[in-house]
Amino acid sequence: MGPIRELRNIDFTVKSEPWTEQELVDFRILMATI
Amino acid sequence: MQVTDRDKSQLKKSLWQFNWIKELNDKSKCVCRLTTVNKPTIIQGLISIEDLNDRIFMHLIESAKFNNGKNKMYLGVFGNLVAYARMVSVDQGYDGFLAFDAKTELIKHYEDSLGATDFRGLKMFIKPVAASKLISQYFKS
Repeated sequence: MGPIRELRNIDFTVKSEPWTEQELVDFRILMATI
Repeated sequence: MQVTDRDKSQLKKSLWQFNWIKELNDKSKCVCRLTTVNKPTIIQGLISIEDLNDRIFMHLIESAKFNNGKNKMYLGVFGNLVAYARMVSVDQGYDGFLAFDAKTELIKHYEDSLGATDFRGLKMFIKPVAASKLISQYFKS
């Protein structure tokens, strides 16, 4: 399997915002189920 | 490789979309750079990650300007940086869990290219299975 296909005309970036306490709690519950 | 003060000259605001100097000064985060073997002093891309005790959170990821646009020099800079974050997550015992926020227009691309899953709105995560694929694709043993 080769590298992940990355399109030339799309620039990937990530800029995250702080998650709320509720989002963190809900995400940890989700992680526990995976 | 972790960014050090010696790399600051390559982190000028004019060279990047995000303020990497500010990120570097935030001690809760680890800023790492991607370089090539034949040009180890040229930063191809940057990532800022934070250890949240149960996963690695990706705050910022950005490719160098010459790796953006239609005539980008290298493909795969972003994937390599995410794969590195995945390796850190595995090393820390988090089973490769990664979390980050996506831009609306890129959600589908992250789902397709990274195997990321939507959590809430723009919040996304990469599960251990998807993260393993990243590792095997970018870090051949």
